[in-house]
Amino acid sequence: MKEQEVNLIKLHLSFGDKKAFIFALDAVFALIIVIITLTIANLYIARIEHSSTAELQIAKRGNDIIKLITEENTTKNFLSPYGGREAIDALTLDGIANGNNIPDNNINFILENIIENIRGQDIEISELNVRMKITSKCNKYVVSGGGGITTVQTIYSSNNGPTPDDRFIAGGQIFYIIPDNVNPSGTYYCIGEYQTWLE
Amino acid sequence: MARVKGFLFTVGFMIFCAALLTLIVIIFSTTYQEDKRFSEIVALDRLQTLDNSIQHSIKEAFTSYAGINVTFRKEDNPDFTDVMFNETIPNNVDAFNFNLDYIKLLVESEYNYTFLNVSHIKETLPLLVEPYNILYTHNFANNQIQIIPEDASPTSMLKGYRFVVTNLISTECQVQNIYVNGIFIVEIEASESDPFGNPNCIKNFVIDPDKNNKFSIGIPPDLFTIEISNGGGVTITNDQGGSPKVASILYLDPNIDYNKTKVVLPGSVIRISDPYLKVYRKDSIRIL
Repeated sequence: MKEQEVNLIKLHLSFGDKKAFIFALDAVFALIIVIITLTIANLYIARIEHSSTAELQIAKRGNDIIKLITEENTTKNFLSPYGGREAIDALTLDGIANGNNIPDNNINFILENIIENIRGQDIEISELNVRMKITSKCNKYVVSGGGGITTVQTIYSSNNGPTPDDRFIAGGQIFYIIPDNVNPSGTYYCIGEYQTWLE
Repeated sequence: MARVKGFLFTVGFMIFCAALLTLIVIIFSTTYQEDKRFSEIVALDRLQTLDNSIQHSIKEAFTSYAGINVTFRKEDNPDFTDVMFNETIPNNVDAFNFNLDYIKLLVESEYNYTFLNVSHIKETLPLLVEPYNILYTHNFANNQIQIIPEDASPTSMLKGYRFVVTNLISTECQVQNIYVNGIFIVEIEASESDPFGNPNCIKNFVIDPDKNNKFSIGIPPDLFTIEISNGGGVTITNDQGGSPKVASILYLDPNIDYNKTKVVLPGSVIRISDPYLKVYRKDSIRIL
């Protein structure tokens, strides 16, 4: 009887070893799955952070801001020196000459002015974490006495702070003119380059 | 039994791993495709921004230098939606042409994939009322303004004209008018003063626009003449000299969709051909 009991206990012990082994195997597999999942998630998040899609979003946003600024309807009866079309004009000629620019490259208050102008004062405008710098290369064509044409080029910049070098900066260009209603030959023909980046 | 269980467990685990890997590959390839599509959208967006800015610049040059004021009017005659063109005959468009040349020069030199076709604008300065295809154009050599509707049938949206002429040298109104009765409205008011004061000459008719109709003001042979024929086509000629101002008002059907009415510098003025994106776009210039 005792021998039988001992054999049973041995059998039980033997089965107990297998159970522990299978449990340990399960745990290892589970751990492997968790590690794989976490690694993939981590890789994916890292990819999103450094993906070109995120950078392209900034470029798209810059294009949208410029569209908003240059949209004809937004500039009607707009008196602020930082409003609508005048924002760019001011940033190229009169504005720069008078020391106006975009303080800290913060485009927000220009956009707020434009949106308030369209939608009224009561609208709540969420702040954009975008910064923008506009540099304009303006040509004026001067006809000299002999009939030849001389190009006078002036470069104006809205920059009032450093452009960061530790992040992606999206760029784009627009073409615009600044007419001179008194003297048509005094028209400025400008290529405006805009740079956009996250705050 | 234990061996079968173990085998099934291994197979199950392999299937799970394979599914997981497939999912990862699908996610990565989708993201890659999204990146490509989004890059294209942004690149196209940049082209559109450039296109819009060129359009805006030409519009600004037109507004500042072309000497033509184009407006919509609804208030004067509530039965019609009006499009009004206001300019002097002869109109000096040298400043506008000069500006067009420099816009073309700079744009084409900066963006070599862009071409501005401005020759037809410089020649006749055409303006097209869309979507009704009514062309307002010029014959600068003969001091003429021409209005050419595509269609002036009874069902046409063009119901008539009103011409307000100021700053004329002579508003002598007794010159015989040649016209055929119909249902097309023609109203002419002429004044020697500028801005418009009391009209010295008023002519109101309802004509057949398909026949030859001719209305003259002044002392022959120095006449200011408005001829209407060929389905509502108008030729305004100034042989009086001086520089009369002519407001040509197009009476359009009041039931038209006002928001869809626009005035453009017609033709493919801006042509952008991007070899990298394989994109080609052409645009007219919207003035109003």
